Amino acid sequence: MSAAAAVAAPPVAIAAPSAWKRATRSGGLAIGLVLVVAMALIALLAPWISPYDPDAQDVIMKLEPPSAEHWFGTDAFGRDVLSRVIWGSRVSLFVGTVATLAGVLIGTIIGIISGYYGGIVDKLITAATDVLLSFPQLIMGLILVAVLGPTLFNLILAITITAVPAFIRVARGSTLAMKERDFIDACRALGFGDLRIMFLHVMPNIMDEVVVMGSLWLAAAIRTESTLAFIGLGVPPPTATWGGIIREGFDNLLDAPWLSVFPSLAILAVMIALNLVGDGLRDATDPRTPQ
Amino acid sequence: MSARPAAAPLLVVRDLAKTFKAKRGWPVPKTVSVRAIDRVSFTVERGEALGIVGESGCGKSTVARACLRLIAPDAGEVRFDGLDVVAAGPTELRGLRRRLQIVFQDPASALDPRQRIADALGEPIRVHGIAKGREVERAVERLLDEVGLPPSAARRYPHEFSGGQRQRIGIARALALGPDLIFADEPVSALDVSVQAQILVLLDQLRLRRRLAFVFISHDLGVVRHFCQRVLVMYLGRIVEEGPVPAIFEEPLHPYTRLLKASSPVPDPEQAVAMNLQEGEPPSPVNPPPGCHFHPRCPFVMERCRVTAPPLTEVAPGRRVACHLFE
Repeated sequence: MSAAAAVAAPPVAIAAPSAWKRATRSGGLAIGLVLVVAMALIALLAPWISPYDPDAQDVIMKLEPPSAEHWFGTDAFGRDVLSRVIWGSRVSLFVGTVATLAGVLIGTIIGIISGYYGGIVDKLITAATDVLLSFPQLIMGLILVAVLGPTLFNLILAITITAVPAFIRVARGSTLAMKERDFIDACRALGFGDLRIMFLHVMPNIMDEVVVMGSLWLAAAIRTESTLAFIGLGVPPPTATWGGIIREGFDNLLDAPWLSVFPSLAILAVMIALNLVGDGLRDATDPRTPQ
Repeated sequence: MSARPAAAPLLVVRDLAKTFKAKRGWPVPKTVSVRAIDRVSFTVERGEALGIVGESGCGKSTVARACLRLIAPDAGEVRFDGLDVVAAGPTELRGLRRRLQIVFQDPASALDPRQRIADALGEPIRVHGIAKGREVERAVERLLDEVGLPPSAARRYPHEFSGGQRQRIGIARALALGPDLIFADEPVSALDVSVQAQILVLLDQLRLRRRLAFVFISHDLGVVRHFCQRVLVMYLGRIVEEGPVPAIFEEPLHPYTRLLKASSPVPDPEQAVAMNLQEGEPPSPVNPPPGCHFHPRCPFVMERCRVTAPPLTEVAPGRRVACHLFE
């Protein structure tokens, strides 16, 4: 036996860094998550943390610049902009979240069915998906809200319909890849039903991609809601929404820029936070991402 | 089929055929068909290990998948213990699933990565109503023990195991429903040589203890020789030779079997690898040569080999060969 062999080999760390380590390494995911949680808390606690009633008008105090009393200033009706931005986050986050969740749920189920069964079912679903995806998201939302009327429910419905085809496509693609794996054949050989295979074996394995996509789509949904509100197709006034506040501020943009600037910053912060979360999750779930 | 004699074979496959079709080409797509298996017939006895050998792409795996009805065969008959597998309705098929199982080549892809081993093994037991509650846990423990894994393995996920251990789990899952016949599709070719031996020993023990029959698919003659009692040699979707071990390796008849034997490495450094019989690539299954599929590579090719395919004929008891040389 050679001398070299007699020396015990030092333990070599060969394990790939865990998903959590990969996700937190860049710090983006952590910052994004903190921001998202903070926004969600602000929205949930709006009745307690907003300094004023968002709809209370005060004609004497109209178009006040930011001050110690009104941090974000006041609008043309003397309403406190900070309070309106806080209350506006409720509508934006609620519409975005509900629409995205509905889109994820419906899209994933249809996508799995499409990918799993293949054949004519798949052809039809894919064709319908392609048609829906050919409309730009905003145009689609615009048409739907214009036709259905600007209510909270219709807004959510319109954004959900724009989200569904995107999730069908992601879920279908991942399902096709999963179907190539032997464990799906093993499930069939064990006599499992199609529903069991699709929702207990395929679905858990494709949720990585769907969740990453979901966090990026949440940002898109909030943006769409704000845009629709900005062009007057959002939840009708006087309910405060970010897009609505920006639009109201446009009338006095040169005299009182704070009206539009602060809600814009709020949208910007949500976009950055959600994109950080989405990118972080994608890095965490894709081991091939360069470190 | 009530008056079936007791010695009837466990599995009878007759004239099984499967052609895969794909549309290829642009702008005018052409339908390309690949005849993966072409009228394959064989039987498997109870407790027997039948080997199927051949090059990659010769249809070995397709035979296994068609027999298990993971893919639908185009023609032919598969009878398991007298029951028609191809025509079985949902209820019958569920019953057959308990008795016919499969072990896959790549243990990394054969297990659901999101499922703990306890569930991977317990789920089939629960779905088929074999046991409930605590009994399932005990059944899982027994299965793990049977394949040489500790009970603690149940709590872990597939990625925590080595290739050999994962293959043991794959085998345990195939055993979970108490089958009579297991199709083992290259069960050791993804493993290290030392681990291969352990898995083969395990399979052999299981075969004897449970009186299991195996259809053992492999391209490795050494492994088949060790494990099987009888061997089928396939070439481009057809069976070219069938015979008992070791006769088929000691005196191969079909020129293709001889080529296989000559090109399979011998663990002896003194012996040079003999590849002089015939070189050449296997022809494409999309466009198989007419007559005997093997004739372009065959050193004994005759005029009629190019025209007519030789039928599989019995040349000695238990030995069949499809070659014009032996008619």
